[in-house]
Amino acid sequence: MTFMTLGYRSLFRQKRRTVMTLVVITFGIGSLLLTMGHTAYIDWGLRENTIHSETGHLQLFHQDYFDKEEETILQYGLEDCSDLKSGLEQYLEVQLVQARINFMGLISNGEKSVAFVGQAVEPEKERKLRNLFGNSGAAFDSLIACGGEDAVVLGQALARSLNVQIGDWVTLMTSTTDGALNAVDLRVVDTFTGVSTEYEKRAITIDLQTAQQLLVTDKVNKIIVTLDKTANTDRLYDEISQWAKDNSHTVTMKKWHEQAAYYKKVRSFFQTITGFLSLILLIIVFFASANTIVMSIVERTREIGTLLSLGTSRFQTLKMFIFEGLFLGIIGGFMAMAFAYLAAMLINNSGLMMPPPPGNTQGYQLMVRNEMPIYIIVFFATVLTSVFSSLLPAFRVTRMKIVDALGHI
Amino acid sequence: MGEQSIIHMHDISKNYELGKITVKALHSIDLSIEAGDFLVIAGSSGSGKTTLLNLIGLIDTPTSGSIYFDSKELDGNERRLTEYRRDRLGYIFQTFNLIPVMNVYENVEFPLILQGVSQGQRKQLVMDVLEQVGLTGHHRHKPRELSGGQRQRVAIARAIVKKPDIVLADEPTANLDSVTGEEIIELMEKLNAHNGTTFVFSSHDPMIITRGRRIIRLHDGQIIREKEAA
Ligand SMILES: Nc1ncnc2c1ncn2[C@@H]1O[C@H](COP(=O)(O)OP(=O)(O)OP(=O)(O)O)[C@@H](O)[C@H]1O
Ligand SMILES: [Mg+2]
Repeated sequence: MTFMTLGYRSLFRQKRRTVMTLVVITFGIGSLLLTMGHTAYIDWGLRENTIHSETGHLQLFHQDYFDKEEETILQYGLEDCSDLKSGLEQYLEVQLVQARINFMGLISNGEKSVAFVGQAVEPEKERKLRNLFGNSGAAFDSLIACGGEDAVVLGQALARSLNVQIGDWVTLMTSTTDGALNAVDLRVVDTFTGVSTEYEKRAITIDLQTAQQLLVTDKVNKIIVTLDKTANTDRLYDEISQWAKDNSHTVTMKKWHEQAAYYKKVRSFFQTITGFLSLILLIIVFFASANTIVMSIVERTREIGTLLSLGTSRFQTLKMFIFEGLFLGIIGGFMAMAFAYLAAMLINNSGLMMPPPPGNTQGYQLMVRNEMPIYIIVFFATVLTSVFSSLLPAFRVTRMKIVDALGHI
Repeated sequence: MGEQSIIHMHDISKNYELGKITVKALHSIDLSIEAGDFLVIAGSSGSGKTTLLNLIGLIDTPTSGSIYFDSKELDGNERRLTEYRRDRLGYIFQTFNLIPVMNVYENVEFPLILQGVSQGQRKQLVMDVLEQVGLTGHHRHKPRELSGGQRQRVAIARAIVKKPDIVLADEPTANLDSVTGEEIIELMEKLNAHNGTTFVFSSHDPMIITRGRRIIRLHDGQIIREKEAA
């Protein structure tokens, strides 16, 4: 009969009340786990989507790209890419190496001209990049089908604003790398919907070679390297940096998250919401368990007096209550984890759709990701909350004078 | 008196502050408790019996005066007091005060765990003492499964299992019918006679009071009479 056993048995003295508290903890902490699991899902999905559509894992630029202002387009672009590309492809972890050019100009239907933001890509690789994360990449099908020649894909809103259909011709005008003006006629082969309407109103995509002809250059803006696993980013960053230095490639490299402003914005938006919800749920759990523990401590005041009169030290008595809070937290924590795990399975199979987040055009499926670190952190937070909620009343009661405790009815 | 006493109290008084009023629960108390005593504290309700027992039992502190334990004056050292309570004193309460989540065996065993007695020794001691109080075969029962008399026997067993210098009992029979109360006193007498256990208990029941070998009568917080039985 140690103080641990005593604490454990005391917990189940008032079965109904303890069960009620466990129910509150189970649903409170369970909801917390689900909320965090949902945020983890959004975070994971958004991250991998960003990587597998925009940023790749690593991006290579000309070493002056971020330090100096370009006076003409692609002044600090990457030259002689083929060596660099084939070097990068040697790495086992590297799944995909592709180049892109960002450029701007005017697009015209013959009557109306609007500014565009263009992206020149290697369509097949862009499709593969999306396929790596299980997305279709069908937006590039038509570019691939026509070999990229004389073809442009417009944002849907842009196509509407120019009043052009698939098959119509448009003219792109832009300044070349040596500052001259150049234009090219391209056939609209497809339209796409983007993450936001703002983006869709301006965006166009063309083939890399078409862009290089238009801009009169063989340079590219950046090379995008996609790895097998996001977790390998840091290691490959170091290895490739070393390799680039050893082979005198004058490049500067960025990791995916340095180039993922949109991801960061959405992520912090969701984290704020989750943080707020978590706080509320933890407070509920704190007060629910504090209430049980306070009640169970107060009604045992005389018993504590008895224990103290038998020569139990105040510290030993305190230990008993700490064990009680500990067991409440552990049992509640496990119940909450089981509840959250089962609920997550149900939710993930339910196909429930969430409305689009602010600024987005597409909703997404409600999914919960069961991540081990979240479970571990939340479990310990639950146990700590439970122990802390028992500390204060336990301190008070174990500091009572023995006669007062004994006289308590 | 003094040298061989277990506890000696000198000029003890105890006041309770109730708002602006001061209740003088005890004053000018001089008392020694000798090994082997079977001492009754008698007195009407409110005369200060419980207050005095609490002071002897070191679970309350006097407003003024000195208490000597083993001829050493007590200071407020909480650790030493806890040691005295654990090793030297046993308590029996009017309301039994058994720990409901422990069975009979565990209740009696508990003081020995506090003392760090080994498990084998504990078993021996607990079984012995349960036999002495007549509860052999009841050790697996929970307190709520026992009658009042049986519960008080468990409480006695819990108090004496560690062989304390003094067992204190505040009205140990007040919650029992007279026959059962009588049996409890008989048990205490037996333990006093056979084991030399020192008992200090209080009562306002004349039948019980006459069983004391030393009788101290309290009135309004003062000892008005002390009688040594033949
Ligand atoms: N905690 C307290 N606060 C204030 N006054 C108290 C307190 N405890 C006891 N008293 C007062 O001290 C006096 C002695 O009380 P005590 O409980 O020692 O008497 P008692 O002889 O044990 O009485 P009873 O036979 O009713 O148990 C009484 O006047 C009582 O009202
Ligand atoms: Mg009393």
